Parts: sequence; C-alpha cells; structure tokens
Amino acid sequence: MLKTALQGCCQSAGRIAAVGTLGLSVLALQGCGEIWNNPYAAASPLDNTLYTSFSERPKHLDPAKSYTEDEAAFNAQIYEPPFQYHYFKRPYELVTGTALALPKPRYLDAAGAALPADAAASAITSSVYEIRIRPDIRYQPHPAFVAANRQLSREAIARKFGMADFGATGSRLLTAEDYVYQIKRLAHPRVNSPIFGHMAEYIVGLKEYGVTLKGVQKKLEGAEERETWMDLRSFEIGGVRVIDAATFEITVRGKYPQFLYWMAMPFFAPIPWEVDQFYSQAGMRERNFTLDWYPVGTGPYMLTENNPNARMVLSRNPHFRGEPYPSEGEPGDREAGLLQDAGKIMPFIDRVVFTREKETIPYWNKFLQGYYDRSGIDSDNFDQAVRSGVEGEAGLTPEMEARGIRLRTSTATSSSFLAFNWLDPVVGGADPKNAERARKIRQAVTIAIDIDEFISIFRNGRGIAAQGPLPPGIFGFKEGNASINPIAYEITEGKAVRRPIAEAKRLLAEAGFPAGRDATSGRPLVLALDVRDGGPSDKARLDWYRKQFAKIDIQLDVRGTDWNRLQEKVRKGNTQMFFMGWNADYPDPENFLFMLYGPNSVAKSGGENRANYENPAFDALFEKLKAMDNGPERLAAIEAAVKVLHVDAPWAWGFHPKSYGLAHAWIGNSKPNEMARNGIKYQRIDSELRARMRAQWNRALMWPFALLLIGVAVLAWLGLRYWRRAEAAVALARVKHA
Amino acid sequence: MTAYLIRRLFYAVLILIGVNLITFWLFFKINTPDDIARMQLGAKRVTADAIAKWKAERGYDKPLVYNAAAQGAKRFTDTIYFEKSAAMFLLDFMTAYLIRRLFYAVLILIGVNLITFWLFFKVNTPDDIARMQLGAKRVTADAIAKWKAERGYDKPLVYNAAAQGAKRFTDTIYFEKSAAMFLLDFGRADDGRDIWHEIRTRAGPSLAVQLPVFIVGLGLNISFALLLALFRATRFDFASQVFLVAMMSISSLFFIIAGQYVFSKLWHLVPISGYASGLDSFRFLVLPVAIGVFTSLGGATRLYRTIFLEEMGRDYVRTARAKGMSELVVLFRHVLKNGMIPILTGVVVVIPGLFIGSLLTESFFGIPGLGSYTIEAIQAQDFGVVRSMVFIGSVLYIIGLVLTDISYTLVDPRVRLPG
Repeated sequence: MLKTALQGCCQSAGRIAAVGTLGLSVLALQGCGEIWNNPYAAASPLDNTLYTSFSERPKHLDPAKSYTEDEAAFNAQIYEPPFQYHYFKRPYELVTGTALALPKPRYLDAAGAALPADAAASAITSSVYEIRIRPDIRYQPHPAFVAANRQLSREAIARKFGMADFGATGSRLLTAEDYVYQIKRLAHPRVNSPIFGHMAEYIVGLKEYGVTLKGVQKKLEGAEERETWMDLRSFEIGGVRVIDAATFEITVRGKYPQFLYWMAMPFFAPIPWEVDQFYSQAGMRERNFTLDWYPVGTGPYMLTENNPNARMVLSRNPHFRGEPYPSEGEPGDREAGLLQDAGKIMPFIDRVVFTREKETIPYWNKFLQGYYDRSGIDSDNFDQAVRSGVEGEAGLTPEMEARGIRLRTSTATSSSFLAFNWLDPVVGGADPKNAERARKIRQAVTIAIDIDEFISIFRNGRGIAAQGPLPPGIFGFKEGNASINPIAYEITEGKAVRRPIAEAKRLLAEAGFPAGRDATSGRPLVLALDVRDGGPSDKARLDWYRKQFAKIDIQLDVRGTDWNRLQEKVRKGNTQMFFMGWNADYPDPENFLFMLYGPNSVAKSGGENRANYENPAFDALFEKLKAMDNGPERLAAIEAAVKVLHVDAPWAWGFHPKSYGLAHAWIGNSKPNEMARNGIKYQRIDSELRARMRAQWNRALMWPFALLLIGVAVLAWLGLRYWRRAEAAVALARVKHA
Repeated sequence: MTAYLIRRLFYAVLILIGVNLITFWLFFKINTPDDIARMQLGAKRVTADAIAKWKAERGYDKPLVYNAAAQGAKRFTDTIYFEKSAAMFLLDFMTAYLIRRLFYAVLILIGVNLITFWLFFKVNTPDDIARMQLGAKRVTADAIAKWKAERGYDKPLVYNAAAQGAKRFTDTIYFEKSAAMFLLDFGRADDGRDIWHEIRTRAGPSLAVQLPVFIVGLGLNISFALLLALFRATRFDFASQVFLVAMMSISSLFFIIAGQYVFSKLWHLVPISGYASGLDSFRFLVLPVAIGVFTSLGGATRLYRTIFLEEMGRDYVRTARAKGMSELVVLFRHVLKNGMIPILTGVVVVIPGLFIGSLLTESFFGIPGLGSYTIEAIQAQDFGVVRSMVFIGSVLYIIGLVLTDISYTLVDPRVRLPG
C-alpha cells in the first residue's frame, strides 16, 4: 500500500516539478528588466532623499556628551551652536550660525577695567563675549513643549513606546536662556560632559557651579529622587549670564581666542529647560526616552527614526527658519558650479536615510548600484575606483567615469605619528646627561622611517608626509619647501628629498651607537615600540617598521598589548615609543601644539602631551602664541616653535591623511569640509537622474536563474529515471548474464 | 509584564520552599519518625522490629535532611525531607527531572556569571570602562571618578571591607551588576540604554533569518541525506560526497560574498543588504536564508547520510527488505524514524540558540539582530551587555539540552528520564 502510494507520489512529484520548473522559468524570464534589488522599494523613486550609511552606532546624541565624528554626522544637522564654519572657504573660517554676528571680546584687567583690543595677553585677566542670537529661530516640534507632557505619571510613561505616543507636540522660539542652560548642563553631575574639565578652566564660575550641583545631588535621598529634574535655572554661574531674551554673555579667564571655535561645536548648542524637565520625569529612562536617544534642536533636520542597529532617518524640520546658500567660496568654487545656488534658501533635501553597513563589500556594491549617493574609498576598492595620472595625481578609473561618479579629495586636519617618550632614558630628553645622545637617536629614527614609502604602500598614496605637527588647513602650515623638516629632508634641485641613511647612521654613531651597537659594551641598540595588538592584519605594517629601524641597525622590539594596557602605559610614561594621532577640534595651531606643551605632560599632570615632551624654549613660545590673534607675529612664533620641534624631534613626524570621497552625478554642491559636519543642508539631489541611472544599472537578470532551475530539474529527472530502472531491475537475470 | 510574572513566580517558589521547610522542621521537632510509627502501629505490643519495618516501608528510616552515608546529590535527595516534602513539588518523573535540571541550571548560571565577571574585570578595570565611554580626548581624573560614581563602578569588585554586615557583599560591583540579573533585571548598558529592550528588539530579526535556515535546512539536509542513502554506492553518491566535502572545506564567508556577488550584484535579483519588517522582509531574507541553508548542507548531509546508512545495515531493515518492501518504504517507514534519534541530539539543542543569531550573516546582510551584540559590547567594554548575553546564552543552552532530553522520550519509547 505504502509502496504504491510512495511510487505514485514520486511520479506525480516528478510531473509537478517539471511543470513547476517550466512555469518558474517562464516567470523568471518575464521578470527580466524589472528592478528587484532596490533596498528602498517602499520609497518613491523620485523622493528628495539622500541615502547614505553609518558603520558605528552612535553612543550619544546629547550635545553635552557627544564628542565623536560618527555622532557629529547626526548631531550637526540637528543642533545649532551660535557659530559654524564657512562651507566653502579655506583656510577654515568661522561664520555666524544662530548668532547675528561674531562677537569681539571685551578684555578686562584684574580690577575689571576695560583694556584695548591689542592689549598684551599677560595683562588680560578675563575676556567677555557677548552673543546676540537671531530672534526668529524656532525649535523642531516636540512633546516637551506641551506642559501636560511634563507632568506625566510613571504609569502613563510606561504605556509609551515612541515619541509619537506622547500625542501633542509644540515648539517655541529659541532664547538666550537655552544656550546658558546648556552651558550649565556641561557641569551637571549626571550628564558627565567630556569637556567639563577643560571648560571649567576657562569659563569663570563653571568649576564652582559643578561643585554646587554635586552638593545638591548629594543631598537628594533615594534612587528615585536622585533621578528627578534639577532645574538649572535656579543656580547661577558667575561667568555666564542672560542679558535679554536674545543676548547672553560669557566671561572667560585670560585671553582665549580659541573659545569661539568651541562655540561652533554641538557642546554649545541650545537645550530648552522644558526638554530637560521632560526627559527627567520618573520612568523616562526606563523606556529609553532620553536626550541621548531623541535629540531636540533648531537645525534644518530632526531625527524621526532612531534604530541605531538598522537605520537612522533625519527629516526636514518644519520650523527651520531657512538659511541662504553662501555666495562666496575659495577660488575655483564658482567655476566648479558650487555657487550656483547662492542666496537660495536651504536645506534642499527633505530626508536623509542613514543605513547601517558594517561591512565594506555590501556598502561599496550598493554605492555602485546607486543605492548610496556618496561613498568613501576603502583600501580594498581603491584600485577599482582610483588610478594615478602621469604626474601622480589621483583620477577616477574609466569604469567610475562612465557612471558619472566624481572624486573629491581633501587633506584631513589631523596628524598621525610615532611619539618618543621624553621620560625614557634612551630616547627621551628629560635627563640632561643623556639629552644630546637621545636627540641624535630620535633624529636618526626620523630620517630612517621613510614615511613617503609608508603612504605609498599602506595608504595607496592617500596622505602627505608631515613636516611638523600642523596639518594643512591650519594657520601656520606652509606648503612646499618652505616648511620642510630639515632634519629628515634636504633640498636637492629644488625638491625636498629624504636625507640618506648614511646621515642617520652618522647621527647614531655620534650618539655612541656605531653600526647600531653600544660603543662601550658592544650591545645592540634595541628600541621598544608599544602597539595595540591588532593581530595578523597589522603584521605587514609592523614588519615594515622593523625594516625601517633595521636600515640603521637598530633592532625594533614590537610589544603588542590590548588597548587598555597600552593607554595605561602611555599615561604612566612606561613606554619608549608608541603611535598616536590627533583630529583637530578646531582649526587653530594651538589645538596641535598644546600636545607638546610641557605642563600638559600626561605622566605628570594627566594632560594631552602623551610624549611628555618638555622644552622651556618651546613652552615659552607656545604660551606666547596660544593667546595671539592670527597675523605675521603669530606666524613667526609658530615657525620658531616648529623649528625647536624639528631639532628635538619628540615625534617622528608621520603623515596627514588624505580623504577620498566619491559622489554620484546626481549629488550637487558637495565639497569636502574637514571641520564642518553640517554639510547636508548645502547639498541637493537630482532625483530624476538617480531614478534613471538606478533603473539602467539594476535590471533584474532572470535567465541565468531560470537556467539554474532547469539544470536542477534535469538532474532530478535523471535521478528519478535511474531509480525507476533500479527498482524494475531483476537481480537473478543479471546473474544469468554473468 | 512577563518579567514581572517570572519574578513573582520565582518569589512564589522561594516562599513555598520556605514554608515547606518551616513546616517540616516544626513537625519533626515535635514528632520523631519513631513517634509516628508508634502512633500508627498502636500502643500495644509494638516491637522495635515492627517500628523499623514500618519506617523502612514508608521511607522514614532515612536521615531527616542530610544523608552523610550517601554519595553526591543523594546526600540531599535520599532524605525524609526530600522524599516527603520536596517531592511534593514534583508531580511526576518528568517534573522531578525538570526541577532537578533547574537546580543544576541555577548553579551553572552562577558559575558562568562568576567566571564572566572575573574574566571581564581581569581585562578591563572600571577606569578603563570609564575612559572608553568618555572618549579618548581631554578626559580628566575627575570626569572618570564622576562617571564611575554615577554608574556604581566606584565600589569594590566583590568584597566591600568598608561596609557592615551583608553590605560587605551586596554593596559591590558584582552584586549590583550581576545578582539582579537572576531576577531578569538586566539593567542598562553603559551608554544608558535598556539591555532587555535591546535584546527583545534584536531577537526578532535574528530569528527571522535563523528559523527558516533551521527549518528549511533541516528538511533539505534530511531529504538530501535520504536521497544519498537511496543512491548509495553509485556515481551520484560519490559525486555528491565530493561536492559535500568541498562545501565543508569552504568558509561560510565565501558563500556569503559569492552569493551577494552572483545574486545581487550580477543578476540584480535581491537587495545586497538591508532589512524591513512585514512582507517586504522576504526580499531581504531570501538570500541570507538560502546561503545559510546552503552553508549547512555539507556537514549536516554527510552526517545524516552516515546515520541513515548505519540504520540501513541493521537487522530490522534486512527483515523489511526480505518481506519484499520497496526501498522507499524501508527508507521512510523504518530508517527515517530510527535515524531521527541521533539527529535530534544535534538539532534540538540549537533551537533556543536561534535567537542569538549569526555574527557573519547579520554583519554582511545588514540585519539588525543579536549576532553582533556581544562582540560589540566586548569591544565597547560594556560589562552590562556582556554578562547579560552570556547569561542568556547559558540559559538558552541549558534549555536546549533539556529539550533534547525530553525529545528523546518522544521519539524513542525506550528512553525514560530519571525522576
């Protein structure tokens, strides 16, 4: 019975499979030409949306906490500090954001008397910045602006799952009080702002304000009460005050011209007290209703979807005041068509969809299919996208050009280098007895490490060899031969050429290590490089470094360790050499040179001078230049300071990375800007062109799939036939034949 | 609500055990087993032998709560308390088995939890965690101290010498961060987000990939293995074996990249990566599921084929053939059913783990699942997430083992769980 049923079943299954395969194949062939691989099928093909990606989930969207670039990609579109960077001009220039004008600080002496603008920095006790904001700026719609939403019970909050569940939303005008409120939040013990320590040194009264809030927090009993809203308006900061609804004033200790740059960062974006009260209600944190998750701002966009595991969506803020597109840029911008929209009201794009892509392969392929509008270039895809011209200039490959993709390059305002620990007895200069010997070793290493070769091998040429701590785009950086590091380079036939290895060997011999051996004991010179253990992927890079040191007969001992221990060793000054890098907070030389200022030594004071470098001549120059306004005098001081650094070589000057970005033809007004992160509002999209190109590049090819199906069906049929024969075969008959 | 109910259920069990223990203690404080025997046997002519016999018959000849003469767990189970009182909680052998496994599970979980805690804090100090959260720039010692105080990382790790009484153990990082987890209170990640909410949100997409991979994969692997068993010792079998060994030798990463290249990049049939909920999810899931099934084909089919071939060599199969049954009937009616027992061993144990997802598949296909949650937490030095995921992983593994044991009893009537 079962046998018959199974055989019957097999026969009908065979017929069904054959008919099914044929049907599927026909269907498949019909599907050819349609677009099946669009990840945004639900969206209209002509929507005015920018599609981009992110790889790391943002930790903080609270402007008082956020201090990383990946978070700035969102925050800079949502929050508006008083100032911003000019999108097109270089060197980077501050312009107004929500403020009406860039304030000129009033300088006061110890007695509180006004000083002239050109007063000596040493005479200035405090600088007063008065900031006046535009009166017509409104916040994005948010439930915090509805009074009833700020008096919710824990039970009512427990029934909410998203901002939409709070029902009514409201808005209000931006006031000066909101900026002051945010400055107060920097000192809030529950907020833990990373810049509080630094700002407390400058903003008069902020340190004391932090102590006051800490005291108030300590007095609160019980976990519930400690979470309740602390109305920061009830406590005043000595150096920050509201003058009227649109004006506030900040008093900073001494002369600190870099303070204005800080005010272009989201740390100084306005936060209304209503929002703080709304998110401080009991039960809000349990449901993830925090400013870290649902930001509130006045910027061109607001966060309307926050799923950091999959996608984040910014939508146009309906209350955004509208901002005119810049009418000026640097030479060449007008010719490049970047100023065609001058005077038009921004933003141009309605929505920005950030999709999380952790892997470069799908990210790159989706860019090529037109599903991402912009892309960076990974080392793996570099050769597919970029080729070098006759002069070594970067250009696109024919494949990219055929797709209308455009290449944008810029040099990052950052430096990567190898640091020598100044406290080390062999390579450091802290001990006067060994200082000269150690200096020669450092200089020899600086010559030996051929950073140009490094850039060529490991970065596909994406970078420029550093001649000092200052990257391009920062005041004090000089192009060409004028800025070369004379220790590592020499000018030959008008070109900067790396000094010969013989010179490095000579320096080493003068240091008492001829042929890499101690002249007295005969022991080889072994230097230790502490690195983060990066596994096999780092091997090639570290082998290359070993080779560089071996050129001057120094044995390099690479000591891999985990990130925490490496940082601890650096903090305690227990290293000899290590790698580090710095991304500019703001485009001012002080932001790089302060990492070499003696009193900032990490081992001695916990500062950012991780090499623990100390030279009174450099320190004096730094103290002088840090408070100066940009001008010839400051430039001369910077040049003198950099000369001291060239001779001392506390860092083996590494490189300034170049960033290569690709954009599809339908993206307009795109120009790389290493300081401004709020560039989306300037850009525009030609949705029609995008839809056309996507349709052209992504037609579904079904015939190979149909062929595959037919192949499987043929195999199945052959199997079935074989089995039927085997079942019908008679074993005894075979015996007879044999 | 579920967490509340589970917590209440847990409390209820504790209360019941407590009440049970007190009743037992009070009762046997007043009545010894001998008194009970005398009461039952009557007041007249009761010999010591009769009492001993009565006690032996009814299990009153054992020690009250601890049997020093017994070995292992029997020291506690071979006692009057366990047999007369604790057994009350056990309705039948299955329940008894489950409760015993639950008891072991709690011990295992405490052990796993302690090891995770020790390993994590061996590598990352509270200062390191604070630095990771506060960022690399301009971090002051004061900011670190404040961060630690705000999140309770300013306490000693496991023993607080400065505290008094029970607080010496409870006022520690271990107790505050780990112990509450046993009440399903996973707490918050270091970035302030609710861990349980995160796990619930991410388990769905993981399951959306893993469940079809599991079901389709299992069906396909068994079918293919039966097919190979049917065509055993033929060219088709040989060629398939070569193909399967080749499949086993290739990394799953290759299949993912090749699958994306062929089906998404070359033929434009499905999106390369992404995720959507509802019906639209089909377009995003079809490729990762197909690749997941394809990847498991090599190893699983070969294993199942071996199992089926072993079954086919047994006496009952020969008898079935001798009775004139066709090969198909032999395969489906006899071999498949008996071959399922060893297959279940490897299969049921992985079912609960389907929630955890797959790191590679989810990373490459942009699926917002749990696959990368643990590894991301380790990189971010987020102890709250690490210990929660390790805890859930252990719980799911234990559930998997229990389910395997239970499934044995369902497919093989000879197997009985010890009560």
